[in-house]
Amino acid sequence: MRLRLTCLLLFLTAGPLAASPADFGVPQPRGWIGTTSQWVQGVGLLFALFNLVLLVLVWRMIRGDGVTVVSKALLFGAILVIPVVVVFLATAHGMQESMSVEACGSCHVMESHIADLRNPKSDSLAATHYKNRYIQGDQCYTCHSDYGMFGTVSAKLAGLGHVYYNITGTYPTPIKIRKPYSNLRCLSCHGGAQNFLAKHEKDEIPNLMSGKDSCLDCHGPAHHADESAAEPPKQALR
Amino acid sequence: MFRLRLAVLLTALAVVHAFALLVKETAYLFAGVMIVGPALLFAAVVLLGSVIFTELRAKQVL
Repeated sequence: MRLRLTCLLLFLTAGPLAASPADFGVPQPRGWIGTTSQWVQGVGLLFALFNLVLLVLVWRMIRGDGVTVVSKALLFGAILVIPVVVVFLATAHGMQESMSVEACGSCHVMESHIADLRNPKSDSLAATHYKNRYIQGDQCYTCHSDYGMFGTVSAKLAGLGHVYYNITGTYPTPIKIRKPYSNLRCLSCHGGAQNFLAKHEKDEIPNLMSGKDSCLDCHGPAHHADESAAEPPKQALR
Repeated sequence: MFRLRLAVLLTALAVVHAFALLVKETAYLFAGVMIVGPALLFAAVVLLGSVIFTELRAKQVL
């Protein structure tokens, strides 16, 4: 029984840590031990299993006539300390994973956007960035969140809203971006680049910075999405 | 003892939810853990606190 439990623990924790190192067909460097997110996932799984074992022990220790000193200590750990660590690690892992393209594409309404993004023949701005790996990962999130801490918070709150709209199927069609796309998101990467400075007149830049002109006016469209695929499906939940 | 058992159950629910998110991340699980997880833990802590308070009152410590 103990051996089986040990094997199960090893399988559950080592699985994410030993995730495929070659998602892009490139071998990983020698001594690769996984990403931070994979470690958070593995350690979180260990803590969660440990917490569940403790909770089972505590459940058995609770008798009608009260709790012992030992069970009080276990209660403290199992209800106050370890669950906080588990939920924190799960949230940290969720935060990281929710930035992935797969997370954005998990909603039906975004499928055509993701298909265009991954289409090597597409000439949309998103596909161009994706196929040339101008952005290495989390491409949707990188372009659709503002920079800095408040950008992250704002993006996560917007994401909660997206989950709500997708569950209830109440999003308007065709779907539109919430507010005009900020040039600052483009300029955060391109702003100081030599090829950007060489191809844009000096008097263009203030207009781009202020948002008077949009980068998408000349470099769009951002996506070639099939709008008919954006109809709210009956089976919004998957 | 009912309150203690309820606290253990609520904690277990939160931990199982977090466990599921750690195994497979989905938008729904993530939103659930972010909203429901802390609420369940808070309820469990309140229940545990009420048991401790009752016990201390019974022993006339408080």
